[in-house]
Amino acid sequence: MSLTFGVTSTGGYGVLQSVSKTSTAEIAEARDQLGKVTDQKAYSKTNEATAEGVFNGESIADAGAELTIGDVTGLITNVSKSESNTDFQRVSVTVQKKDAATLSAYS
Amino acid sequence: MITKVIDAVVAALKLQTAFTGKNVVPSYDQSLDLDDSDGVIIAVTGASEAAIAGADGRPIAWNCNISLLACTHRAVDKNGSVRKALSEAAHDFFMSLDSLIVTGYSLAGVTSVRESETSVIGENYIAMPCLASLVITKST
Repeated sequence: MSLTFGVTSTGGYGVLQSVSKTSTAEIAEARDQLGKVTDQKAYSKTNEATAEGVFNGESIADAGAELTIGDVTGLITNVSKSESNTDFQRVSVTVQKKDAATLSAYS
Repeated sequence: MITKVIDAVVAALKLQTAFTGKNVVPSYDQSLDLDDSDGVIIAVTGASEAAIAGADGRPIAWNCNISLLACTHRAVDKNGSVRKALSEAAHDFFMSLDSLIVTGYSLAGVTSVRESETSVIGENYIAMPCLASLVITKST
């Protein structure tokens, strides 16, 4: 058994503190006359990755831009930067890619 | 790392008018003979704790809790005016501290400056502590 410690993915912004990847599917269902699901068909899959980091001064793209986090290259759906008088500034960014969609950044 | 920060604080304190000519020493240094201290010793000690880690989990920023003890001999400073002045000067020093010369590290912020109760050290010395929390980051 091999355990992995730390953040090994790359991407996002700042000094990476965490990276998470979520894969979800949209699934169509067919039911019989009693309401029981008899068939399921996955027809679309979404990969989403979120990176959280300590801001280090690098420029940050806006939502809608293309970015790679780990093995997910997608469009930024959410990017935020927080400031506090008791903590370092932090930045969080989420990218999303659906199926094999062609990515077109916001312009 | 903490000894570098302590040394930097000691060096910066010595540049302050209130501490000029005084025995400002890091607490790890026990070479000062109390008989030569003129009854006034400002001891600086500290401890660090990791605040932020890099992607591999190793720290890149620390909270360094610095403690400055303004110690005066009870016979030299009966009414405590000397240690009171030193403690107040230490408070002002930490409150206005915005940079420290620490090789390989830098001061990112000061998150706390506070004072504590007067205490007795040994048989003859009375100490007034001033404590500060410095955020120190590793230089890239």
